[in-house]
Amino acid sequence: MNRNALTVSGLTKKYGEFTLSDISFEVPRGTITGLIGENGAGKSTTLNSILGLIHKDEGNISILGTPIEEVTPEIRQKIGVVFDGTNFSEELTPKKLNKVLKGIYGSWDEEYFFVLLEKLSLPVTKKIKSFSKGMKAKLSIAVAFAHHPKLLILDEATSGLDPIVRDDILDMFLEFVQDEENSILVSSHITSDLEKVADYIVFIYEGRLIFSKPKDELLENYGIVKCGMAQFDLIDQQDIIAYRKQDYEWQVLVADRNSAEKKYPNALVIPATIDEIMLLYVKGENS
Amino acid sequence: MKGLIRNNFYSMESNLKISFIMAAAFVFSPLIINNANTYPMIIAIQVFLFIANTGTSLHADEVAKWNKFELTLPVKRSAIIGAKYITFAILILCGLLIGFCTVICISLSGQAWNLLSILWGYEYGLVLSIISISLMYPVMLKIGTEKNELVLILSAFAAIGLMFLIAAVLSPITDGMNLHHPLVGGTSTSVALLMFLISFMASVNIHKNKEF
Repeated sequence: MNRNALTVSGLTKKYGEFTLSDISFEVPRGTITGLIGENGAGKSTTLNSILGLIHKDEGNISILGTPIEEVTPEIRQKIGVVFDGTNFSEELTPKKLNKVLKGIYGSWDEEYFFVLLEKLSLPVTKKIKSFSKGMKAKLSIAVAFAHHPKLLILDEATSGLDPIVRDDILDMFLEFVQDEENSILVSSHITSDLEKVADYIVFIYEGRLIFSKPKDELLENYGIVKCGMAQFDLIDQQDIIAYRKQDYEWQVLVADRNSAEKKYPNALVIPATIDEIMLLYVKGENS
Repeated sequence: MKGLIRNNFYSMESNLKISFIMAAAFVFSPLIINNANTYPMIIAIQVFLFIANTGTSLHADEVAKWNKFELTLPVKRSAIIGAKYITFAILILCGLLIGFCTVICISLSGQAWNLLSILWGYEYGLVLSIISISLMYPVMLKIGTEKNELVLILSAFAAIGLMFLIAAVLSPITDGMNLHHPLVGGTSTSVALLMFLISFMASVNIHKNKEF
C-alpha cells in the first residue's frame, strides 16, 4: 500500500494572470498536513485541483494511491470534503440532509451523524439557511466525518468558529488520525490551529511552493534574530531566509536557531511561530 | 442517484409549494370562467408552472455551492446531470397530473368540453415545458444561474417559436398554418422529447468540462 494518502507532484494551473506553479507535496497516511498562505496564494486552487473541480495544466496528483484521472466513486467514498461557507442546499434541514446523503454514500453512518450533530450542538430540524457561519462549518464537518472517510480535505474548515468549538474540532481531527490509515489536508488562515495539530506544513506564496516541511522542524529549528542595524550587517547572507526592518529593530528569519545563537551571541534569537515565518516570507525581503 | 433526486426536490420545496398552490387554484378556475376555449390554455399553464420555478432553485444551489460540493460525492458527473433531468421529468409529470384534475373538475361540473382541445392543451404545456427546460438548463450550466429568469423567459419564447415553426413547415399538409392540428401537436411533442435527450447529452458534456 502507498504510504501517502495524497501525492501532489509538479501541479501547475494557469488562471488568467495567476499561475499556480510546480506545487509538490505529500500527505503521509496517519498525519495532518496544513496548507498555509495568504489570500489568493493558491491554496484553494491547489485543493480544487486535487478534488478534480478544476482541470490542472500540468503535474500529477494521486489520491489514496490512485491517479486523479482514475478516481472512481468508490475512491470518493473515502474522501471527506469541507469547503468554506455553505456546502449544501440551504432549504434543507440536517435531518433532510441525512436522508439525501444516506442515498449517496454507501458508507453513510446515520447514527454517527446524529451523534455528531448533538456533539456540535446543531439543531436537527432547522433549515440550513437560518444557520450562522459557524453552524454551517460545523455541519460540513459532521457530514465529512459521518461517512468514515480515509482522507479529509478541508478548505478553511475552522474559520468562523469560536475558539472553544475550534478546539473541539481540532480534537476530532487528532482523534481521526489516531487511525494511521486516516489523513487530513487542511488549509487554514489560523496558523495557531495548525501549530496544535499539524504534522506537516505546506506554505504557498503567490502560486509557488515556499516549503513543505515537518511542523516540528519549523518550530524547533527556525528562529528570528532580533538585532540592530550594525549587527544585521554582520549576519552571514547565507543564514538569512528573509528579513524586515521594524522601527529600529531588524528581524531576520533563520533556518537554524541554535547555530544562530552561537554565531551571533550579541543578538537576541527567539523561536519563530508559523505565523511569524509566514509573515517574514510574505512581508520581508529575501537576502 | 436517489439521494441526488431527493436533494433536488428538497431544495425546490418552497418553490414547488407555490407552484402547487397556483396550479391547484387553476383546477377550479373552469367553475368561474365557464368557457371551453380557455381550458386548453389552463392545462398548458398548469403543466408549465412546475418547471417555471426551477431556475430559482438552481440559482439557490449555486449560491450555496451545493453544485460544487456535489462533485466531491461518490457519483459520476453524468449521474448528477441525470438526476437533474429525472427531476425535471417528474415535475412535468406533476403538471400533467394537476392538469388531469382540471379535466375531472370540468367533467364533474357538467360543462361541455372537447377531447381534442384538451389534448392540445396537454401537448402545448408539454412542449412548452420540455423545450424550455431543455434550452434553459444547459445554458445556465454554461453561463451560470444569475440571470435565470431571463433565460427561462427566452427559453419559453423559443419553445413557442419552435411550435410556430413546426406549424409553418407542416402547413402544406395541415391545410394552412394550424397550431391545433394533431400532426403539429404530435410533431412538436416528438421534437421536444428529442431536444430533451440532446439537452441531457449537451449538459453532461458542458458539466464535464466545467470548472468549479
